Amino acid sequence: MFNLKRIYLLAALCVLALTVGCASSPSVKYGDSKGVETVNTNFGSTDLQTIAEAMTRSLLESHVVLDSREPPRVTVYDVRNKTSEYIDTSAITAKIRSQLTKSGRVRFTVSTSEMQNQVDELKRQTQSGLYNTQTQTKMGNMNGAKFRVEGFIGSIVKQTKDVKDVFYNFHLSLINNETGDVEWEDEKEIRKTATR
Amino acid sequence: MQNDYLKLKPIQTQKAGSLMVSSMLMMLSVFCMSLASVSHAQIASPLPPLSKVPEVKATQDGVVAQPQIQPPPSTLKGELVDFKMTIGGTSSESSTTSTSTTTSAATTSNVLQPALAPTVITPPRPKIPNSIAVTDFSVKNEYQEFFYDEKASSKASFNGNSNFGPTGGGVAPPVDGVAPQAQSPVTYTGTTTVTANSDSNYSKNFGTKRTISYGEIRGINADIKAALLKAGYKVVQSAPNLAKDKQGDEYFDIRERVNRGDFGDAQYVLHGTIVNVDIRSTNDRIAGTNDYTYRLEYSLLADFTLINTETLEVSAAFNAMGSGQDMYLGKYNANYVPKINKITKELLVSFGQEAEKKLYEQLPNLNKKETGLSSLFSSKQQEAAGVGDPSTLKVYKQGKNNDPGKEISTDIPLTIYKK
Repeated sequence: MFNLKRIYLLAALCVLALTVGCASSPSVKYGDSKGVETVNTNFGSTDLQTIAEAMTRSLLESHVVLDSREPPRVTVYDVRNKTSEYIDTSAITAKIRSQLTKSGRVRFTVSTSEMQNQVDELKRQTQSGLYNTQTQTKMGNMNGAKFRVEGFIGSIVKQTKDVKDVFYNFHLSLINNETGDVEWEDEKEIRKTATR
Repeated sequence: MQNDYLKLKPIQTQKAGSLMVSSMLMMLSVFCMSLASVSHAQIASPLPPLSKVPEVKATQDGVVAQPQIQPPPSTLKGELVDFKMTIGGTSSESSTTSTSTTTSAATTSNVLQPALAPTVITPPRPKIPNSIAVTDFSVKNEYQEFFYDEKASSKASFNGNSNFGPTGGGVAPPVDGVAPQAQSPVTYTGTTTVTANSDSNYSKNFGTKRTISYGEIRGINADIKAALLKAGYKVVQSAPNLAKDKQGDEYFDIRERVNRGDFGDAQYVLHGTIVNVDIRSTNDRIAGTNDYTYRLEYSLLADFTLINTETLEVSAAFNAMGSGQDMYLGKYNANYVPKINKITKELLVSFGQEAEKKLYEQLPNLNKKETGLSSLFSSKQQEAAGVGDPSTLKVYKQGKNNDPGKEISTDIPLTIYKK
């Protein structure tokens, strides 16, 4: 009898402990967005920032930007992902574009991936008949980009039982749309190694 | 009857008398007129009198013989002959014949009259300076179309005729109660005629039909005319150029039109010929979207020649192109209705601007006024008078207490550099 009471009491305590434990909120902390992230060897935020910063600096020092009187118009093509893992390459190009735009020395036009919104807006203003003809945007006045930026990211992965080595290679080019000349080109290499 | 005769006779006598009197009067009047015409010719004519016309004869050794004064001709006989001849004519004819009674006078008058005849020379009308006649655009339309014609016809007829029947077997009439007897055996003969006709025709024609037509297109060069007017030129309306039957490429012969006077008194004629008209209708998918662009574009290429109508010298020649388009954004198979007026307006504006620009670039000899559009397209900037000329430079020396200086003369050579 006594043992049975003790068993009931013990079970009740356990349930109580579980209930209290589940109801508590997780601890959240803000970290440094530019801090080094080494969770695993996958493509991470530190890689993104490193690549974007290196490419922006190199492009701003190119003769295309330095020699032109007016900021050259550039459009961005998607960066092809040649790695075996999923990488949102548009995040890389978006970061590069934002940094270049903030410098004020390069102007960007609407990229291919953004054309649907552009076309929809033009249709809405010019063909719906709802807008004042004096204030509506006119079709056929979009500025063409003289240059385009395109590139790819590739990786080489080597793995043993205890070691995993990943080598990322990010390659970016600036091409003259009119002549087809490659005006600028640079690459950024990153090596990450994880050991058990 | 006698009374009647008596009545008639005096009348006839009177008629005869009056006829004689009238004929005498007419003869006298004509004689007087002939004499008057001779005297009038002698007085009013700038030529010397017929009797004083010297007869000039050249000798073999080149020495001109002395003129001999001919005695006055006896014109009585000649006048009478001429009088008889010209009795039914007019007075002027009789006077003419009277002057031609002497051979020497007639010869002299025949030689001298053409030299003294007044020749009317109409001077060419002066051209209006700085005036240009702008023609409508001549165009040659050439069509080629494929044709195919295939015909087949068939006609057949069949005609049959058959004739069959007995012949012979005649029966003699009964004689004296004797029964009739057959005189000849009965034979059956027949003919059958069959006629059949068949006619078939087949023809096939195919090839390319080529049609050429000539004409003018109006309403394209209004901007060019306006630009010339704004620039100070006088624009003359040219006559239309109508194509004839079986017209050839001589339709574009501007020299013939100049000689024909199609351009009035214009000093120049700006002749435009359409080289090509291109119409493009496209629909393309926009990359990165699900939409298509539907586009209709007109483009025009024309050839201009500015010709001096006096010398037929080509003063300027150039090509000009213009284009206009209408665009529509829509999904696949959208119902697109192009705005033709918008396209045409864009085409004319762009075409006119390019034509004006090239025209002004090639008119160095015209007295251009730098106003309006011409100043926009003028490649040479008018320099201010005296700029760059050392002779107009004045050197001032500042006086005391910053008072305005006086001009001083200097012998130092000055060099002025333009910016």
